[in-house]
Amino acid sequence: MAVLDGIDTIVVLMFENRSFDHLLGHLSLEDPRSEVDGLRNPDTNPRYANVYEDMVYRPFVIHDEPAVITHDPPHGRGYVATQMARRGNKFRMSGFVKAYVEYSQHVTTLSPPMGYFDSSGAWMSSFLARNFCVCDRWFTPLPADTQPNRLMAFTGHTLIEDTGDRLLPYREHLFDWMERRNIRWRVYCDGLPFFALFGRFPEVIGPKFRPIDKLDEDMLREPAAEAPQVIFIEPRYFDYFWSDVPANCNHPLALLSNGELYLHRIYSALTLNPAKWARTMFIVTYDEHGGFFDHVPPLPISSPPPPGAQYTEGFSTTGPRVPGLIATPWVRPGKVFHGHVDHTSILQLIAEKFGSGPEDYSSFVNARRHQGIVSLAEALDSQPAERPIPQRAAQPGSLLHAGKRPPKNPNERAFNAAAQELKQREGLAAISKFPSLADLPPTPTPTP
Amino acid sequence: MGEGMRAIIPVVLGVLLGGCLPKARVEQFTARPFVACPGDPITLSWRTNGNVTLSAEPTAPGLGKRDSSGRETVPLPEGSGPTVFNIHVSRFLGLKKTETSGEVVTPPLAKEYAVVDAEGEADFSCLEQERAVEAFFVLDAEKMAPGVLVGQVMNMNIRRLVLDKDGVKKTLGEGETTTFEGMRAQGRWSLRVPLEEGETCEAAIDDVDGRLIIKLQLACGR
Repeated sequence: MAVLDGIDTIVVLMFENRSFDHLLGHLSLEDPRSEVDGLRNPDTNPRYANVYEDMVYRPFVIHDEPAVITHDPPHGRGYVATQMARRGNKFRMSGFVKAYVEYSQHVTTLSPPMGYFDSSGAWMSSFLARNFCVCDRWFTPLPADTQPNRLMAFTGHTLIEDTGDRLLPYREHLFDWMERRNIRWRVYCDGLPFFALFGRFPEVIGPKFRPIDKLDEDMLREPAAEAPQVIFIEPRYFDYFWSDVPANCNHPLALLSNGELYLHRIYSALTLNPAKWARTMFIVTYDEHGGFFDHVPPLPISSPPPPGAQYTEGFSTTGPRVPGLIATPWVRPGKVFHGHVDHTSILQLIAEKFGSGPEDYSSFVNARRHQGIVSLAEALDSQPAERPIPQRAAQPGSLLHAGKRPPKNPNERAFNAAAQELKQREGLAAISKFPSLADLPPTPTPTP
Repeated sequence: MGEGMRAIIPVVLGVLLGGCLPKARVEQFTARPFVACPGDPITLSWRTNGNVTLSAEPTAPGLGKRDSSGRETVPLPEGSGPTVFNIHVSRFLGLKKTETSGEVVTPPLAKEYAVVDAEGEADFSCLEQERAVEAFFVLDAEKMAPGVLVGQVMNMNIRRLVLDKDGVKKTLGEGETTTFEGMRAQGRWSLRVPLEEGETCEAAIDDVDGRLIIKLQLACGR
């Protein structure tokens, strides 16, 4: 595809656990002329109404996140089925409150999964959406939680169906695919990356994983011919139960304000060098919807268990929508891309740019492509938009944080397992690379 | 042992032991009915794995420490706003704790009720002879106190709706209101959507996004 000739660098930032309507639904509410399929008349339109015990719960704007989101909404496979509220081949998307109450026993009129942010709360995401491209048909590949969906993003398939307290079983990692093709890639981290859960420890402490503090300098000084062609930006995860520093990954109960500030920081760094920015494609998305409401039914995409899978019941649909943003000069301001995409669209894009075409990644990715999932390259325009680089002043984040605590949920225990093993295997090199590992307490026995 | 050491030991023990101990859990907690008037009995029911403390905002008399599981009835505090009943569960000297809450709202207020065409939810009936789709919901004692009365009722659907409550039938156009003045909110509410010429039941259900919604203006009877 000729348009990809104009792109030298693909940058991917994957946040955690927010749905499309929750984060970007306000775009159509605040500008009714917008093409975005977000919120429209949410106080009366039936498609947003959730029902629990016959009572209707409507979307409401979140002004004070710590006061509203007091429990992490559920997002495991069984709960997602409740949320999507199936009848035959229809999905009513009316069970987000029901799943939340069943999980948390918390009943309140302003039920947390129905909350959404406006442009003052999701200030940086909103800014990028209005100035670049928003994908309003970006779905989580699977109606499940973090680990299977991240495996879909970075391997194209998954051997597990839920998040557990273990290192991830996987095949066909994107990093290996890129290594075989001599593609220059790099990960910038704000602490231990999720990639540590793949157990590739020498790689994680090696030169391809750099602290986020180096991003500005690298953007300014690194010659284009030596700079990475694919960059992954890792946020600071809420799963660092051993740390006192606030997370910026947006996973509840981490606050969105810190994630928005991190997004601003990354965008500012990527646009420091106008010549590089002119040939950069910055992709922002979320690993899964986090149990927050979305009104658009999932796509009927079939994913049978691959050979060696640790589950037997395949998936017949995607999960709910998640936010998807593409910031690059190669889209017109305010573009809305309605093409059907999921996390494997990133793999199609990389295969299209650096391989022989969008079908050059794997048979699993191709199976989704044949069912209608397209490459993110399709969101790009054939010509760059000629204009100054849009800029926005930062809003402060929050110092509130969960603080040091025992690992509670499976992903926190998975981070613990990865951190313990990394520390044990790589010793001082690991602590030197990720100083917060020094604060990691000795291995506790996992709780059931 | 110095003061600093004495202060730090519980923190270190908490982090070290915290991961080994079973979590505090609220398996079940309800405050019913969801809608009630001041003085109405509210039944609190809970099942946990730890020491329980119950409280309410605004304060309700007689709450406090309880066994890990139980059920009891308290009067709804006076006041016009919602009452939030809290449950706090603690284990292992507070090393493991959790909490949640249930809200009871008090009329006067307007509240939407609905039936959803989804598995595990309501059943929509296709009435071939009457050329209509019908569904119902029941506001029982778990959902609505007996003293709560209905005033106006609004049709929140984009379709004409025939409402039936205790044998009283009313037909409402889109967005129209009618009155069921003085009738109890408790009971069976039947909602029927007449089909258009040539329309199938499935198409009619899709037309309302799989939901039939009404808004009840609720009041306390005394």
